Amino acid sequence: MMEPILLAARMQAALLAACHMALVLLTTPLWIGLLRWMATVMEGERRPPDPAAHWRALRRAWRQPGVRSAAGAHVTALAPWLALAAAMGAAILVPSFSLGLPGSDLSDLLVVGGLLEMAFLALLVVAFAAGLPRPGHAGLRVATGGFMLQPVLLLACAILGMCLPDGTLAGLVRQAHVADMNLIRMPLALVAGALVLAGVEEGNGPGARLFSIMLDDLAGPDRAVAQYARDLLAVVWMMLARDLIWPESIVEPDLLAHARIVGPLAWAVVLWGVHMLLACGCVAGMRVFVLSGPRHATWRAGLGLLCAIMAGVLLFAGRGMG
Amino acid sequence: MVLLVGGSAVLVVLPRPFGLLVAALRGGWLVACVMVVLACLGVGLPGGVVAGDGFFAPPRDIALLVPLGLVGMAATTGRDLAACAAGGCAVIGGPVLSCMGAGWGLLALCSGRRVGVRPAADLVALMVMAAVMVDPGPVVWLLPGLCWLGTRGLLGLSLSPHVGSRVARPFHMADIAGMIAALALWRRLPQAGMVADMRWGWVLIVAGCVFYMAASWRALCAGGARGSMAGLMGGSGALVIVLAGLGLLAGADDLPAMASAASRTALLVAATFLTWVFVARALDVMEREAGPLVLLRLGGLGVLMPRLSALFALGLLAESGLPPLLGFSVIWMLLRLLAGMAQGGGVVGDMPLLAALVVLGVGWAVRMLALVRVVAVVLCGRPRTPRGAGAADPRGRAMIPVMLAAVPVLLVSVWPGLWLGLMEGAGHVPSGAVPPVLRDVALASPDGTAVFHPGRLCLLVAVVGCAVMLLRRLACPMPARQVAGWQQGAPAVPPWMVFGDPLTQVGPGNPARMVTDMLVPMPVLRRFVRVSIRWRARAAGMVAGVQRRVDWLWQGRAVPTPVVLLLACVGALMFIAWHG
Repeated sequence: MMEPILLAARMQAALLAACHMALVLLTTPLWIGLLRWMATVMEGERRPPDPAAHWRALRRAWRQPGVRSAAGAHVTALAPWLALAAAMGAAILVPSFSLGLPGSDLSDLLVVGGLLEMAFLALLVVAFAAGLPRPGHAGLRVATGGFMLQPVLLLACAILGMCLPDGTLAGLVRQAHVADMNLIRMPLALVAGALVLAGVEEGNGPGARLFSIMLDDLAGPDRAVAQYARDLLAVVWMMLARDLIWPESIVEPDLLAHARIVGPLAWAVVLWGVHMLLACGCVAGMRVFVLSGPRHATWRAGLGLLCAIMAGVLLFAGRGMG
Repeated sequence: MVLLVGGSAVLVVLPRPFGLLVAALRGGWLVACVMVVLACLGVGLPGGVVAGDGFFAPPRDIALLVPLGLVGMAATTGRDLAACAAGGCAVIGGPVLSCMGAGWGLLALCSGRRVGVRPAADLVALMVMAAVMVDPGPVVWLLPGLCWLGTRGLLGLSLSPHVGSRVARPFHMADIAGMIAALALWRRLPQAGMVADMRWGWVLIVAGCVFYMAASWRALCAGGARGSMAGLMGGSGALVIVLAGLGLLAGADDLPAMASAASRTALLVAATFLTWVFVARALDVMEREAGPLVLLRLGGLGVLMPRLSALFALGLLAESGLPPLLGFSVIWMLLRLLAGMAQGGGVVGDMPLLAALVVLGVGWAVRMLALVRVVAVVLCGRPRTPRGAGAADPRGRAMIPVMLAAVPVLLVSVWPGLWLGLMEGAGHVPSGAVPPVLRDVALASPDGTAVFHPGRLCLLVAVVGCAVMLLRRLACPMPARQVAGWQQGAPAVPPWMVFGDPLTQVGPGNPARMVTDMLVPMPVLRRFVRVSIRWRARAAGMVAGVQRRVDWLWQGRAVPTPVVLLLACVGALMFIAWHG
């Protein structure tokens, strides 16, 4: 017989998880549309695209009849959905507005990064499955462009593990509510920047072009799912970076103690929206002003690694001084 | 065990493989494996355990016979069984017998016709190591170096980026046995009177990370699937070195929790060797069905042999270090160990740690690219040769051994505490009691604050995957239409050329080239290659000149290996006698 308090806590966790997932999944195309809009505005385009156009394009692709290349059709049928599943698994683990989600003890940075990497690889498999030259080579170029993700991820996890006792995102949020974060804020911000640099390839022209070449031989719901999974990937990386920079804005709800919890939760949702808007602006600005040259992949990898190493150096230097 | 070793020796001596003897030896490995599992669980065996004083290892060290028994059960050739017997000697033996076993393993691994160079230096190092372990004198601090030299052939440690058939060994089942033997030797070091030294610890950690990167690069550049797997496996061998270094460092700093965590991680690495067992079986089946595993000729096996390819992909996923399978647990523990090693000595004191993490991360990234390459070339795409197009899944019973070999990996991935309890339980548990570690389903960091539940992660991935598949079933009731792919304006493939043009598919040579292109601009790289070739030619000319000068001394004679070994023996005896 389950205790009533335990039952209520589990129901609360399920409710929060449902709200969190609905919020993230529904707003994903919106964030990507805004990101593209901002990048176009920063590039000086006279008539920037409609931010809702991306949502409409996804809907149109979903409604088309499904067509795929006959070669490697078994793999193509499965891989986009696998990518979606991995990205959704990562999205559950990254808190958006509140703690207390069911898998909060698993919200290790390495787990989240690994799941996102798995989604990335599943999207690459879509390009390789048919064995056609153009998508395959585009896939390899994308794979090489995301090369620095693993070193950055390892460094980020080690740094987070040294800052916190348990090294999870939930632990970070809890510590941010009770302790002074100013000592480790700078290393964490650098780590967040490194993760966004290494993980998000949305927002620049070549990346989007390569991805559309990768999906050349796919139409219909599978294509829509692959595109959506890629968008979700970028949004989860940005959410992760936002959690590392502003962990205080996430509330820890306790429905049993306080009857009026809706106000703080709504405020946390609004803060999440504002922070994501800021993150979109930062990513767009970085893509347009920093990484827009011909060797943007090299710059991206090098800058990501540099940020992560700088975070480690700052952390160690702060410890040595302290 | 004696029967197994003797039978394997007979099998090696026999001119042609003898099926009945192979079957008997495999059965013998099954029996040995079951007996060791029972002994690890604390069940008293009739007859007890032979307590050879110094000749055999203490009973708690024999747990590595479990993975070795599984390798022996899956072995098919005489060479594999000989390597297993050698590994068995290395696991159960005391200092002398284990070094002899490792030496036999080296000879069994390098017995191919093409690899003419016997590993004389490794054998000499093993012999000196046995002498030092028997009589630990003032040179005992050399033990890690000797062990490194002696096991480099077994673990595949090499800094060379060359992947040609003369320098690199393709991957076979025997390599797994060799690696278990090397792991047993490395685990024997702390008991051999080795005083933990911080300098050795750091040297081993950094060297292991560099070896990991070099092995991953070899996996990325190899021309065959077996060569690529050998590179990936060399990465696992490098992790053994890193963990040994971490153990030494923890011993020097007097951190028993850290040392035990390093030892547990090494046992998890031993569990990843089980993945190689079924990958080796799957490669054997692929080679039988699709011909030689040359990457330029393979392709499209994912469609031709879906079940075997799914198993193979599962093995690659477990080796890649991505969640939720076993490789991820190893990476998680390794990262926690490395993060726990921060000395708090400011920037300068902790820079080696940052460097090691960066090198390890780059190695991991290259390994991932190598896996992407294997998947893209072997499993995806279209078949490139008629021989490859004729491949099909093995029917009925032939599939069962491969599937059975995958079961332990899945079990250990979900419940690593089971494996660790089994491995650590030997000799510790009184008869009949359930070891406490068996109830442990989570992995804990050395300081115990961070806990990772692999089972929960597997559950999460499974639940989300099922939800997405349900969504797919509900949202897309109509199957997608399959059409011919777009060929860049080329005319349709004529009916007599069903395989397409192999040169236009993703080839095995692309990823390494793309990485070098990204890191170094092409003109700089070209200039560097030109200069390096010129310098190499100059150096070779100088060496040839020196050789001409001293040629009267040598006169082109080659010294045979037995003479070298004899000289080394005499030297070792003189050394021991000199030190009393």
